Amino acid sequence: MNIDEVLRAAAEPVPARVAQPPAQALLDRIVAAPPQHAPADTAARRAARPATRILTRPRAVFAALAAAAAAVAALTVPHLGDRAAYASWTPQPSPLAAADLDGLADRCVAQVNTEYGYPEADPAGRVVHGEKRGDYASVSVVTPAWTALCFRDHDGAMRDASFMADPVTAAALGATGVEMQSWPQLRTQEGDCRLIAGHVGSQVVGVDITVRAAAGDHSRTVHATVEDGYFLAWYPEPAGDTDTTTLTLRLAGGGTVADLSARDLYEAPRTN
Amino acid sequence: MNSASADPEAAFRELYQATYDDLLCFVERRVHLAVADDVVAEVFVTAWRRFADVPARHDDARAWLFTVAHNMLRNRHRSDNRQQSLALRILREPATPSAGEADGVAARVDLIRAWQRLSPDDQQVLTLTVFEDLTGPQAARVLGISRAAFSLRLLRARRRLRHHLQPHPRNPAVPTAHPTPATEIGTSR
Repeated sequence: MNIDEVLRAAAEPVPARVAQPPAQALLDRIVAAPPQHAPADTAARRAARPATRILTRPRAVFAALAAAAAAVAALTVPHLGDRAAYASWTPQPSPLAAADLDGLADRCVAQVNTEYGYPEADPAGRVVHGEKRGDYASVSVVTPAWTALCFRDHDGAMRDASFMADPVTAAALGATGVEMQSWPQLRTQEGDCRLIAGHVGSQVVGVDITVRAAAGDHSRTVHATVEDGYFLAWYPEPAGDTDTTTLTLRLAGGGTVADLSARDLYEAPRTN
Repeated sequence: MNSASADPEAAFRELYQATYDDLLCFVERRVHLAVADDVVAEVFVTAWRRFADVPARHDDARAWLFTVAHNMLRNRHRSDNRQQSLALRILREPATPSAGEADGVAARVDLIRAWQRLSPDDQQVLTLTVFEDLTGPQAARVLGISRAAFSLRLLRARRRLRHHLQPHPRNPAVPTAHPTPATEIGTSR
């Protein structure tokens, strides 16, 4: 018995659809702008849809952060192919002014509502963190129902990078857990970059993220912001595989939890 | 595309025409049909935006699109908390002829029952090779695992499917059959 043939024989045939008007209309909309000017992420996807299409509910994307004092986590990044393009980028984050943080958070929340149809049920319950690196800033918003991470381009435009519904609770993370809530790539006029954000357990005071080059021959260190159990960072990174990225959690007592695969964490949180 | 192309739009249009149906089937096997069009649109927008990264060879480009789609679907599944409950539909590509009738309706029913007893992971590896016609390395890359790991998974999945197809009564010692809802197997639009 050839199991492959048996399976194919049992399959339900579907008709070809590429020649149908909806498929051809989609193609025309996509190529209406040159690739380098095609909008990234959700804006691009929205542009690719007919105007009458109903927005679908979210996929997993992003993260959040809370207020107050910031610690710093280390991100180790490999060969950054687009690094030269981001001349203003710094491995060490700078804090955002409170007014900037609030303003960006408001825009981020509004964008989540517009893009995903998730209103903010209780603005008083919002937790916000942010950071600045050179000309760019990122902000994360955490609500009880969802988390979002938004990116401010160098021209001031807000890019909603990622959104995730139903984050795990702090209790589920316990002392040394971690949920990677956002790990998207964005493309700006300066090239591709990676954003990362998440929620860590109560004993985690730092997060070291190591991103190795594909050849494994070198890496670089970036420092992520860690505040109140949440972390975030962004760094230039060429589009492509990042399966070798790992996280090391630094604990209050001086210990570490090392070599946590970022991809695995993105698949499922590490809980206690 | 990695190969130098004087006319990217023409090259993209060619890729789109050649892969649209395959990609739509790939997605429809894995998500609710109502959202499949959205996912396909997202994948092609990404491909256009990152056209320089798309492999020049057709089958590699096709596998690249599947990888992007797989990652998007994983994100959706994760946020929807449905990843462990979805079973893959058995859909046949438009251009893929049926390889025999498999002894008619009864055999097809048996096959679908056997398929439903497979875990989503088993269904995934079989689908990538049988229906999506990917090579082992391409399928491994879609799933983000090593070739060796993929080969092992495929071997075990085939073994389990064969076992479920055998006409013996239920055997509690069957190698890890995971009950799955699989309510939409064999359906199309």
